[in-house]
Amino acid sequence: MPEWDTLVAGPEQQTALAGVDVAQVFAASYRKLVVQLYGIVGNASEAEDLVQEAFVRAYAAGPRFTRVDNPEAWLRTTAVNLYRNRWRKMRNFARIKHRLVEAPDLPGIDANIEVVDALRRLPENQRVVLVLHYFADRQVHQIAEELGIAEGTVKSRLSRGRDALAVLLGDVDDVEGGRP
Amino acid sequence: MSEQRLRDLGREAEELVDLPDLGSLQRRGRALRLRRQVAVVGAAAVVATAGVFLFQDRSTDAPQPATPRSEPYTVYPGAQMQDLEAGTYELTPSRDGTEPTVLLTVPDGWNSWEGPNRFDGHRAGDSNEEALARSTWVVGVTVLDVQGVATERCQPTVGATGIEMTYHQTIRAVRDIPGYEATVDRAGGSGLFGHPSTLIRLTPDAAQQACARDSQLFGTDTNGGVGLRGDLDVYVVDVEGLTYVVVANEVGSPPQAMRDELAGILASVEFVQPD
Repeated sequence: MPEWDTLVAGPEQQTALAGVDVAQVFAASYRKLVVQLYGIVGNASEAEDLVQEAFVRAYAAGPRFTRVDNPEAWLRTTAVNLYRNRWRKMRNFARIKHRLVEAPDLPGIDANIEVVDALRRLPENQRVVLVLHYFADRQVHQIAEELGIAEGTVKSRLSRGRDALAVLLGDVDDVEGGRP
Repeated sequence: MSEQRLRDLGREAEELVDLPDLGSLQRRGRALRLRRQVAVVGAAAVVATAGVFLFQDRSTDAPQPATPRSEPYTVYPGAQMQDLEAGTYELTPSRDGTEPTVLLTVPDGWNSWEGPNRFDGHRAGDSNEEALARSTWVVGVTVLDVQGVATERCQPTVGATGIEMTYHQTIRAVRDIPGYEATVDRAGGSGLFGHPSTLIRLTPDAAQQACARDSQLFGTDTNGGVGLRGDLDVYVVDVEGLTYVVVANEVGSPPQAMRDELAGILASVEFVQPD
């Protein structure tokens, strides 16, 4: 586990994919993004659908997409916002119940299903920062920038999310009430 | 410990993800780009006609990721069979988030069904469902992203194939629905929706009318399951290459005021491109 200071001030992540085309980003980032969205939405089919839709948007941007500084973050932000917009649109339709009940997992995830279920039980704002930090290796200031929220808010959600996750997974030794 | 398990999940799960066909995503992206360009050219033509200035999309900036939508309109609640408050609603005919949604405005007194509808038969304390069962007249409108059209009289269900029907395929299929007398008006709906459209007036024969409540005319992947009764005005609309069907129906002899409200709702229908 990284020290908190390192976490907060961590090195700038290289945006090695900047300037490359969509196919290259797809090869490097598709699987990562699906797993990240799976962690956030708790539904493997939905995650694949959202990430694919984000790539459709990237293709729709045409050559301008090569100007994006961090294509993986762009795609992730697009997928997360599409999820939020879609959820809002569908919340009153009867099928949302159907979708929630089914919530398919990634085939073969059995060894980690307990962690997936624990993530599903956290509030969305905690899930998002946990996924960005632990799945996408984003530092606090990067998460704050990506989500458009204050660093203090990221720290707080990360801390609460970690504590809640530890309780849900029975790792009570991990709970540190005094950490920022 | 739990943090390590989280990291392990993130790393190990990547191996479980299958790659989709990139060509398919590329084709969908190009289609979306084309639709956006057509929409921009259409907007520019309107502005130029008004004699103001010619607008062109010459942006070379990096594109912005999709943003969370502000919600200026109420999400249409679907078939809840409850009173709708007067206002503008956003209805989502397609599950594909890159395809347009529909804004429509309803006055007081309308009911939430697949699309808004209105009927008589109300008594104090009764539900809208009970009133509808007693009704002598009904008017209604809905907008569908059609993936299938009935090919048999009194067809109980119409499958949603997942394949979009073209504008002309849809016109032919609607014209040929068994059990209806069809009149095609190529100019019907002209100017009504801001897109090319064809009106097909469908009048059921007695057998079709008898089974209409339990039969389906259109297969869709969202707000389908429609038991459309009575005379139908079916507008097939070409929204920049995507085909939608706007259905207005009348059962019995609705008062003229209700027909006027129905016409007003139809006139308010607006197709909105996603962000």
